[in-house]
Amino acid sequence: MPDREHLLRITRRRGLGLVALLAPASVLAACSSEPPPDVAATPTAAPEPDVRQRAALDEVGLIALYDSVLASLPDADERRRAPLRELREQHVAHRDALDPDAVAASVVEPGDGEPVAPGLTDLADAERQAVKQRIRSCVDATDEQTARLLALIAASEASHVPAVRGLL
Amino acid sequence: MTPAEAWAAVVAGEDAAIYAYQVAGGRVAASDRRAARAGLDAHRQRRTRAAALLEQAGGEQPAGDSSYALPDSVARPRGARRLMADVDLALVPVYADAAGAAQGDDRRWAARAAADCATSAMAWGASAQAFPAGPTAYAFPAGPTA
Repeated sequence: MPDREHLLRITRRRGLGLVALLAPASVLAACSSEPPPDVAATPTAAPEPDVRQRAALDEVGLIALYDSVLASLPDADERRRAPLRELREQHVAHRDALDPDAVAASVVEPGDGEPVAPGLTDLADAERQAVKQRIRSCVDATDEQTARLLALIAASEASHVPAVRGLL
Repeated sequence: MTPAEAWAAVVAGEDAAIYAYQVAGGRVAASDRRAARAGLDAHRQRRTRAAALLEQAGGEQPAGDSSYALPDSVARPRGARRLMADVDLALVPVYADAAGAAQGDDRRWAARAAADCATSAMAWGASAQAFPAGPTAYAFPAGPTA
């Protein structure tokens, strides 16, 4: 939650008048993992099950990846565990906004060979790939709200890359 | 939202960001100045492209304004960083709106810009958000206020 004293006020002194307003409701929305109402809303006239479901399944995969990384970290390593849990919850919010019915059973199983516990580098790489995929899906979307939602999620996941790399 | 409305909001948002970066970029620590200049250049370049897209969409350029009131905290390096993070974050939903309103390569560019703004905000100290938005609601009225 941003400190109120830091909240930006930019007002135009001339011409168009007020440019930015302090808006408590928006502050709360911005600090929540819940999407603002206009983000999650999808026009009923143009649902896009394929685009949204594919992206939601990607989110399920990312959640599972976070779980694997978290499981590999010592319980005492709260310096890493706490921010990773927070980022994981943001992926849960992404999945829920896209398709809350997406389930873990759809996650692709790893390939042959000895299973290797993923690490933070893998997580950062996965986030970077997710940004590319969300932008591709955004371009493919045929309704405005889905495109907008995917652009927001791409931006969120772009911010996850430095957040994860900062934990290396 | 029409493409013209969306691009007009982007142009107005970039105008505010450019002003904020110009001021804040001179107040950050010396070690941050190069990044602030690069950020300012990025905002100017995006503003130029958004203005061209606005023109293509048949919209009118928002009236420019050379003077904004900034928080007092911008005078200190920490506050200057915070201001740049805030204006970057505030642009994310504006670009997402544009992505929704546009198609094809223009949509791709808007989505990429949203991601770049979110990444830049992180570099200035913002925290990751599930649905990035600035801590303020930006409104760009169509006419002068009383």
